[in-house]
Amino acid sequence: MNSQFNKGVIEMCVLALVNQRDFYGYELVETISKRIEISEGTIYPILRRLTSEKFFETYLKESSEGPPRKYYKMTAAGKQETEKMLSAWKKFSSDVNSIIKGGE
Amino acid sequence: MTKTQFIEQLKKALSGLPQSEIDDIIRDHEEIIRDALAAGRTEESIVHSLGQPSELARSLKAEIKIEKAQDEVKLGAKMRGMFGALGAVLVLAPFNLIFVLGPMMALFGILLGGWATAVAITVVCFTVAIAFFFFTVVMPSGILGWVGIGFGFLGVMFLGLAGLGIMYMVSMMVAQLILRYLKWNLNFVKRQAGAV
Repeated sequence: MNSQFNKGVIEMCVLALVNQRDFYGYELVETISKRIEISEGTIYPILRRLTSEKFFETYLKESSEGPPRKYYKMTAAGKQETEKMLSAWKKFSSDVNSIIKGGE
Repeated sequence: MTKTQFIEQLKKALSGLPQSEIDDIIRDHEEIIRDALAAGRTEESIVHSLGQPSELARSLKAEIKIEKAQDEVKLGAKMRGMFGALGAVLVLAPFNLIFVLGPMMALFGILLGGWATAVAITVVCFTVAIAFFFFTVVMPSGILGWVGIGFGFLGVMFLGLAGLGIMYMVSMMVAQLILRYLKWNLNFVKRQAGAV
């Protein structure tokens, strides 16, 4: 997929996932890459930016496999942003679909 | 490149940032590498996907400098932070120069004009007011007229002082706007570079 197009979409996927529950970094890579091709290098800058925008909070939690992992948790501001983004996306994608189907 | 080399180079390239920031970034990358290895990815492909440490560090530095400057509450510190951030963005994308520098020069021209006007009004009116009060000492005749004009100029001087206050606020706002623009510009540059 076109990479410029991709990045905004992945950011939205990250917001939508963390809106459901807390995630750690690689968990997001794995979940998203089941459907869309992404890699480790894509996710870190996105997580950093969303955290610095105060959309996410982070905390460290012990893991059974080794050192603690950093978890990302949605803030109230992040929730608001996610809802705004998702409703814009729903409208956009249904409009695009109607056009593709040949409607007006 | 091995993961150890990657981490070492990243650490070196990040120097200049506060130690806590460096530790945090390194910690996050160690975690990602560890998890990706556990998931069965090869070390080489993970490191490749994370990108060049120097490139990664440059873009992180620019981002962190912008964020720091945005949080400054004093004009002097904010302006210094803003120029630091500007430098970091230009290092990252030199071709960007005209898009960033042109509008900035124009804004700074306007700001400078505003400050000069406010300073001039304050200083000139203060001096003239003093002069009129002095005349009342050497030429006591018509004393009320001189004093009245003196107070008039003092009044205008306060307008000049208010102007200085307004210029302070406007300058803060302009710096904040420039920083937001730099942030947007940085994201744009990174998207263009196809960081995915």
